[in-house]
Amino acid sequence: MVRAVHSAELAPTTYGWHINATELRVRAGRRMAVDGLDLRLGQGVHGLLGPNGAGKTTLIRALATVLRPAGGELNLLGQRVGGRLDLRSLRRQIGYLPQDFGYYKQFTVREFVEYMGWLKEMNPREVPDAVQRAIDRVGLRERANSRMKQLSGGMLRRAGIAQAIVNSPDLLLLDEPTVGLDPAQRLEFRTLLRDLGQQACVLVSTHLVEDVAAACSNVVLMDEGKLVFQGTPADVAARGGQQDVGDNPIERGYTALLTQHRAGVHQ
Amino acid sequence: MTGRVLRIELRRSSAWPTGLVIALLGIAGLLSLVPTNQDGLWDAQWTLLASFQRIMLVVLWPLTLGAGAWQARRDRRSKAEELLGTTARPSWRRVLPTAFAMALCLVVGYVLIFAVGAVNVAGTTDYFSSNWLPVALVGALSLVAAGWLGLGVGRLVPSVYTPPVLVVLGFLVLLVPIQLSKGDAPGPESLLGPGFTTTVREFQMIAPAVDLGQFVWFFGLALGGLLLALFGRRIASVTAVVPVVLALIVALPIFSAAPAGGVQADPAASAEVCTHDGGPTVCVTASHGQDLATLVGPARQALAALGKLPNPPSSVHEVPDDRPGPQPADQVWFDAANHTAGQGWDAKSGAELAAKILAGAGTKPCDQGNSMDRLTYEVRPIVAAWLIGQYPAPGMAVEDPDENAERTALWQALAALPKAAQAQRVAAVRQAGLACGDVGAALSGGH
Amino acid sequence: MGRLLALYLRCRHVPIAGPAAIVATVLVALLGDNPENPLETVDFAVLALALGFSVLGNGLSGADEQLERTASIRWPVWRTVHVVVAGALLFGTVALVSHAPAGMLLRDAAGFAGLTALAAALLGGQLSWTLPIAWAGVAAVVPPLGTHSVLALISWPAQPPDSVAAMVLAIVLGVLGVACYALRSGRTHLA
Repeated sequence: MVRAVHSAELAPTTYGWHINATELRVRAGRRMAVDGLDLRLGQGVHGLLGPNGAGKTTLIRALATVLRPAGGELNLLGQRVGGRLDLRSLRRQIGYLPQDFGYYKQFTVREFVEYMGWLKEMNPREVPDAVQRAIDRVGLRERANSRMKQLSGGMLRRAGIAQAIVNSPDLLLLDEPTVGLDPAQRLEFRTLLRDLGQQACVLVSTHLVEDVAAACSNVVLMDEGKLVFQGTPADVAARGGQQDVGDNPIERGYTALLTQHRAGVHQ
Repeated sequence: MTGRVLRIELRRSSAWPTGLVIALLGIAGLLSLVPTNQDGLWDAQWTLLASFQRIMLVVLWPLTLGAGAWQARRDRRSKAEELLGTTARPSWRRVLPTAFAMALCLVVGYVLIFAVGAVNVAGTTDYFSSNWLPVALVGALSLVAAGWLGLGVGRLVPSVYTPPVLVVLGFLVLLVPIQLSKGDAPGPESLLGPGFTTTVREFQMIAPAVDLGQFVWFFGLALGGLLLALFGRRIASVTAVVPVVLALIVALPIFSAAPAGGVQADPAASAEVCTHDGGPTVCVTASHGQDLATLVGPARQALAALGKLPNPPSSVHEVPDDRPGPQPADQVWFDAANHTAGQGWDAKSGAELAAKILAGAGTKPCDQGNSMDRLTYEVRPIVAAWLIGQYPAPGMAVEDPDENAERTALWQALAALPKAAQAQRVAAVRQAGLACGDVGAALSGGH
Repeated sequence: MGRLLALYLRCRHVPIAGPAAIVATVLVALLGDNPENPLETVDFAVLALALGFSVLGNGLSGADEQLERTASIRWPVWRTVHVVVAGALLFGTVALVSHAPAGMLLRDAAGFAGLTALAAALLGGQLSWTLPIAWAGVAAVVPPLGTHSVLALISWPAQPPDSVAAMVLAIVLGVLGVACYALRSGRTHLA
């Protein structure tokens, strides 16, 4: 396994680590999609990369407390997940945007975000302002009173991000948030991500390497349910050579790391 | 904040469309009887409206079950289960506003139906009592119970097929007591349905024991449905059985305190409203109080005509079917069935009305409507004609030639007698009518 | 063609919904089948038919209606055949087990097929049960006395097989519903 840990600058403030997983195993159906993962993440924006089927979505679902770990140890925001622990206080601090997120089509954007704020047990007095702030941050102010079913794909995605951030979560988990965003929106989204990373641990799963390069302070590379590499985007880029497939240094580094890992595993 | 969420649910969930559909169907059900002139089934009396609305629950109740089950599937239908599952608030708290929005809209829908019917009832009768209130209250509660039960079953079995299957099950369950009631007298368990299997008539009301028992039963059912909705597929939902069983245990003995079918006489509706103007007393039932004025003239004409007889009666009383006899000799009893809700007395003119009062020489037939024997049925208009002095009496001509021939024969036999004997025979008819004796024999001079 | 048919049936949930509809229909029809009480027999047969349609009706819209619409096969023909075959299947099922008059069952099957298709076109396959079940339920509880045309039309499914008004209404509903559905297809998006 190749590993470059640059965790000093990601050092946590209050929790030790926001995410602390040891030998984590999570089942997706019958398959052990996360299989012995060690991962420690603190404040900042972390890009989660990996080929299809690497276990990214399963990992995010486990971190969002949708799936229970099948083995190993998982600590989120200083609380151990699994067993009989009450997830309620932990869930108040989590923001989550699933890959294929469901919503009530009849609700307006504002109602949807407000409803999610209520479900996250926010202080009722803070909700209206927080809702407005979240909607503004994703650039949906003009469409706040449109029904969800009338939104385009990209706007829907932004509404999803708005609900994820409405409670100012300490742990923000975004699964493919940039799908469907137009180029201008993606640029704005990167700024938003960097912003959010100032106060929280943000884990973004994506296929778009440019997003990672532009917005993430840290890259987490997964394959076959395991951690392959963790480091800064520059670290990733440094791994790639001219012979590796890719349009830019980070993509070439990504390819090189995967090839290297697979060669090691299959020997 | 919960208030804001409730508002969102009221505006965006399927609660208000459900309430609207229930209201529209109910109103359509009421109005569908107007073209056939059967609206007397519900607009004669406030209690009648409330209980007719209950009868319509046979349709509305199963549909509400289905609506609840449809609403329950919203999370799955929207594929929002994963996202909502990761929030701090427990799922039962999420269901609560949905359930209350549904209940509120169902109650409003139910009240709307009543309000539309109330416009007609208010124009039909001046009689007002609060008997209808518990009946309507139980109806609205039963609708809430259906909505919550549907919500609960929908959460328990979140399949696309749950709503339609539940609706059909509801219809089957409600149809069974109706089928049963066509045979023997319905048992107390038939009162567990939201509707009534017996029709309530104008001078009747739902027994208070039935209202109470049904309130307890539907309260328990609603609570059970709500618990089921709150806990869904978790083991705690077993607790839903408790209030339902408890309500059943409490309600059934209460029902047995009421008469079979759950209907009893409404003494206030049949209480008398009388003239106090110094003239001969004329009384109608409280339910028909607004039509007293049109009865007074013909009633006094009838009393004057009866003055030809020895010991003539001195007052006229409209009486409902269930007024216990015997009829006092100094009274004229006029059957309340001669009144149609919203239209008044069943007579085209005062003379016709007077003739009706004089049928049977001012006696009310002892046998009810259909079972009256043919001879009594023919004798009654003959004496009316004699008292008025005109054959046939106004409004009493018959078209059937055979019947007409029989009547004319009776009339001619009477008219052929000496004057004093005629009066004697008519007086005998009155005596027979008062005593529930053989009216035909009295007219022919036999015994 | 055979392969396409198999796939079509699968995406319309027929392998599960078909047998389920038949079982449910048979159960309800048998439950009230009482040769000594024709009214009860008819009421239950009507409800059985409606239940069958509501189970099959969910399959009237596919997973993604817009995607399917772009396919080049002759959708109106497929959709019409789908509804007609479903109606024939349910008619046959109830006619086999119930003592209700066959002419009445055929008329009701046609009318309910139309109502189901109409609801699917207007509200989506998941709500296609609403119209047939609501009307069947009303017919089962309204006394089917044909004295007045309004009540006779309201209770058309329970009218005797020789009722002209009921027959005309069933045909109108059948043709209208199938036509709407064949041309518009089922809505998929409703929450």
